[in-house]
Amino acid sequence: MSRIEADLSLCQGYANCMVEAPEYFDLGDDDKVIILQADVPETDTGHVRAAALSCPARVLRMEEK
Amino acid sequence: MKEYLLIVGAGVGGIKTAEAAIAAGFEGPITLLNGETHAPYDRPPLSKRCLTEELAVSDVPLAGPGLDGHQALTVHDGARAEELHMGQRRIVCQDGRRFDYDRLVLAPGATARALPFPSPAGVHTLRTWADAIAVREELLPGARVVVIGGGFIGAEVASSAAQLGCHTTILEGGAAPLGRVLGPEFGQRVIRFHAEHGVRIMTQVQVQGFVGEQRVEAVKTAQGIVPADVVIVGIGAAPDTAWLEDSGLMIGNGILCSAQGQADTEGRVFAVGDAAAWLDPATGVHRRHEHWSAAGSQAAVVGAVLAARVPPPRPAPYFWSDQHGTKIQMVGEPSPDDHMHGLHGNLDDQEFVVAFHDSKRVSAIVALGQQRAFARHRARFTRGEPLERALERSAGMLTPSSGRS
Repeated sequence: MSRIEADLSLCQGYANCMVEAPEYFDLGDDDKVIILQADVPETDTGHVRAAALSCPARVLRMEEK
Repeated sequence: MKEYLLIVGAGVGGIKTAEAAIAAGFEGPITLLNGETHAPYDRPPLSKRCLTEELAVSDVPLAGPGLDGHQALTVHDGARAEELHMGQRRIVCQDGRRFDYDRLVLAPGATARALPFPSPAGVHTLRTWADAIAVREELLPGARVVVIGGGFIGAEVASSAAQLGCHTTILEGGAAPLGRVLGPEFGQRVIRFHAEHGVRIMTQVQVQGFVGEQRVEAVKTAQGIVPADVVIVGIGAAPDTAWLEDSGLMIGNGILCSAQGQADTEGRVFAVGDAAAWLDPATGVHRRHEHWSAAGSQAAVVGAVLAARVPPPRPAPYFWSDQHGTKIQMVGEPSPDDHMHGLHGNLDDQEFVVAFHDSKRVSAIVALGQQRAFARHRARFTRGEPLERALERSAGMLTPSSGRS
């Protein structure tokens, strides 16, 4: 199990994460990321990590639990 | 046996390939050759924050958490590759250092194109950190700044200059800035958008040279003289492939690669980023894609191939540009004959989302501002929503679908 950590102060609203993993990320009215589900089971780690890596502003990080 | 991976170039293509290879489980040692003396930095801010704020190169780092935890990663700064010897599997740098490899990823990037005239002081291109600092020092309030080229870099630099209080003019050769990509109708809106933020755009301008000997005083054009204290030339970039001409790789407009970035016949050499021309299987044509996101998606494919994993599908091309505090975003690739259809917002405002389409399919979604709405349309586009359904989504848009010529 991993957990998504986000530094919202960096978010620029590119929404790359939301396109890669819409079940985990959304964009709020303030154009900042909303994490729909922070805990990531092993089966989803691959594409959620890809979503985190796709962020141009390096907002997202995956922490092992 | 663990393979040794050598990556030439520490821009977004090189760094993201290392990250992707690690994420995909590549276990061998990785060496990155950074041709510049600064630690790897992110390039998109160079035309934006790096001009308007007093940043240090360490404020825009490129290497991120994706490189954490890999024990055998080495970055050599100031290591500019000069020769590739595929027979010996070796790279030789300008300073004579040699690096051998089992697998090689070429991400040398590109160099800003210059105009074919002598350039006095005060004429700049913008590609590197050093370029950005040189430009930043000259963007003083009240300076007359002329940007040659209305592409994304030019438009971003003009936006930054206007924000700093410079009198800013863009000289565009075509009918409208971004016109070759987004068509004249969208281009007209870009002209108005810039005008409202104090940037003048002159179109159909042919630049003929510079006035001034010690320092630039004006830009000479077929349409007249445009006074200038500072000039930034933003007319594109050429891939850094001259050093590879005799290497045995296929070099055209870029390093010619398969649809998975393979550049040689053995599967040892790959290329990503601005210098790589990947085969587009749909058209059979090799094309370079000079965008941050393209480098990232190529890196994800090559990283997976290096780790003997199934590569992820390549997402539709996506890019963004920040101008006057607003994001311009596009996903997909419009063609010049496409129609433009309003999806969200109002075309007469400075905030809207539009679709480009022909009679069969949506080719691209483009937005000025409206980040949240764009994100939703982009997600639908990425899933391949059918044309009819996509075009139904136009509630609230005052300007209906209209043709481009």
